[in-house]
Amino acid sequence: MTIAAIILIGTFFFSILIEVPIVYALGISSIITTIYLGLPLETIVQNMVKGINVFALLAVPFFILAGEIMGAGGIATKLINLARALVGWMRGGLAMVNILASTFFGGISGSSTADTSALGSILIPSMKKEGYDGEFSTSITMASSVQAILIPPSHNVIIYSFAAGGLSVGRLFLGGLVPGVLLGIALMIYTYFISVKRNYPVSDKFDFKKAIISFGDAFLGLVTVLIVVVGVVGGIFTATEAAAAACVYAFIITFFVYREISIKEFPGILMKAIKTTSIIMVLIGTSSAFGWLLAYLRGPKLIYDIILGVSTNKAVVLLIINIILLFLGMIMDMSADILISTPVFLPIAMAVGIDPIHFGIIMMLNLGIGLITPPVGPTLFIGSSISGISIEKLSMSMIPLFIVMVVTLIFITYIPGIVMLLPNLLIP
Amino acid sequence: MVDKFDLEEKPSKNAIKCKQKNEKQSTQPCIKTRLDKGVKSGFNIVTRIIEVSCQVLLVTQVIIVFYVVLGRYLFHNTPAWGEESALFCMVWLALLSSVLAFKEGRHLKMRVADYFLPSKVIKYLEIIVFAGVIIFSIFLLLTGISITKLTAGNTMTGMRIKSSWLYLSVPVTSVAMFLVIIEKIYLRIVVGKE
Repeated sequence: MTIAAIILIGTFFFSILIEVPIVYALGISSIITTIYLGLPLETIVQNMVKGINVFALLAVPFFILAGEIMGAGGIATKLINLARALVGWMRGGLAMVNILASTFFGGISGSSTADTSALGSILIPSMKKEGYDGEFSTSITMASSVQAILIPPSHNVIIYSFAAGGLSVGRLFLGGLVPGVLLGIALMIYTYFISVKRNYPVSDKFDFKKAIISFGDAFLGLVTVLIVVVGVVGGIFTATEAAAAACVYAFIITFFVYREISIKEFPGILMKAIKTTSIIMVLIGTSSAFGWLLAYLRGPKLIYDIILGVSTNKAVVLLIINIILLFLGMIMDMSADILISTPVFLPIAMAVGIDPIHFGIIMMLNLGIGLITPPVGPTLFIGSSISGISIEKLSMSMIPLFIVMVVTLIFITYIPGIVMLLPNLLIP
Repeated sequence: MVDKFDLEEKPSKNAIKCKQKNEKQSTQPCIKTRLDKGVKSGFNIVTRIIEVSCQVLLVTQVIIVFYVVLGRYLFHNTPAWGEESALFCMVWLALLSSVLAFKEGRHLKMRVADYFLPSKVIKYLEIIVFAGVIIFSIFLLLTGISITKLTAGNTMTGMRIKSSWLYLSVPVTSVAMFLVIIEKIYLRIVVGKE
C-alpha cells in the first residue's frame, strides 16, 4: 500500500517536473499505480467519467458561459464606470477603481483569469496614461482579481461544495462575501499608501448624479449576480439551475437590451467559454481518478495521522494546512487542488473543530493566491500577456501584494467570525 | 507563455520555396504546397467539427437545465431525462473540448525546468512528454473501447438509452487526440516548422 502511494505521488511529481501538463500527469500517474496494484484499468476511465458526471458541477461551465456573455456585452466598461463614480475621487483613483471594479466583476465572472483579462485590458492602459507604472498597474489588477474566487457566485466554491460531500452552496456563497470585500479593502489600504508615496493622481471628482446614472447603467448586469445569489440562498433553485437561468438572462440582456454586440458574435463567445471549460472539466475528471486512487490507498488517513501527530492545536493545524495549500496552489491548478486536497485536509480541519464552510473559504483565498504565483499561475500568465511585462518582473512587483494577501488570509483563518457571520445569520 | 506546439499559420520554408518557384514558372503549381494545403485543410475540418460539436453540446445543456427549471415552476413537471441528458452532454463536452485545449497547448503545466535546464534538454523532454500523451491516448482508446462494450448491457434510467453511449465519448476523444497528434507531428516533421 505504502509503495503504491509513493508510486502514485512520485510519478505525479516527476511528470509535472518534466513539464507534462497537469491533467495528463494526473492520468499517467494513476495508470502506472493501477498497473502496479493489478486493478482493472477500466476503473480509471470509469472514475474520470464519474467525476464529470455530477449535476452540481454543471454549474461550472454555466457560470463561465454567463460571465463570458456579460463580458462580451460590455459589462466591464459599465462596471468600471460605476467604480469610477464611487471611488475615482480617492488618492490613486484609478487603482482604487481597478479594485472595486474587480469586486463587482468578480461576482459576474467568478474567475480570476476572466477578471484580469476583461478589466486589465481596459484599465492597465488607462492607468499607464495617468502616470502609474506598468508593473504596479498589472499587479493590482491581478491581486484584486482574486476577489472573484470569494465574491459569490464562484464556480470554485461549487467544486469545493462537491468535493466536501455536498455542503450547502448557499452558506458557502454567503461565507465568501465578507472575506472577498475584506480582501478588496486590504488592497485599497495598501494602494492608498503607495499612491501617497508615489503621488499617483486623483482621477475624478465625486459627482452624485454621475454615480446614480452609472449605477443604472450597470444595474441590469448586476442582476445576474442577484439571480444566482438570491436564488440559491433563498432555496429557490440549486446552483446549477441558477447558473443556467443566469446564462439565459445574460443572453437576453446582452443581445436584446444592451445590444452593444450582434448575435453573430454568439458562437465566438461560446468558443471562449469552451476554451476555459476545456481546461477545467477534464481536469476534474482526471483529478477524480487520482483522488479515488489516493483514497483507495488510504492517503488521507495517512496524512491525517501525520498532521494530528504533530499537533492537535487548532492554530497550529491551520498553519500547517495553510502552508501545504499555499505550496500546492503554486504548483497545481485550482480545480484539481480543490478536488484532491479537500478529502485529505477537510477531515483534519473538522477533527480540530473547524467549520467546513470556514475551511472552504480559507482554502479558496489560499489557492486563489496560488493563481498569481509562479510557476503555475494562470492569472499571472494572463497579466503578463496583456501588459507585455515578463513573468519574472511581475512576480517581483507582486511581493508586497502577496504579503497583503497573506495577512488577509491570516485574518480570515484565525477570526472565523469574518466568514461565519453571514451564513449563520441568514441560513442558520 | 507561448506554447511550444504553437500552430500559428506561418509560411513554411517549403512554402516560401514553392512561392518563389511559382513566381518563376507561374503556370506550374508546386505539388508539395498543394499537398500541404490539402492536408492542413483536412485537419482544420476535424478541428472545426470538434468545435461546432462543443458549441452545440454547451447550448443544449443550458437549454435542458433551463427547461427543467421552467418545467418545475410553471408546469409542475420535471422530465425524467432532464438531468441525465444534460450530464450526458457535459461528459462529451468535457472530453472533446480537452482535445482542443491540447491542440492549442492550453493545458496548464509547471514550467520550472525551463529555468534550470539547457534548451537542448528541454527539447528532448518535450519529445518524452509528447510520447507520454500518446501513451495516455492509447490507454484511453483501449480502456474506452472495453468499457463501452462492458456497459452495453446497462440502460440509463432517464433517457432509456444504453450506457455505452456515454462511455463512447472516451474512445471518440482518443481518436480525436490521435488526429491532433498526427497533425502536430506532420506540422513539425513534414512541413518542417519549428
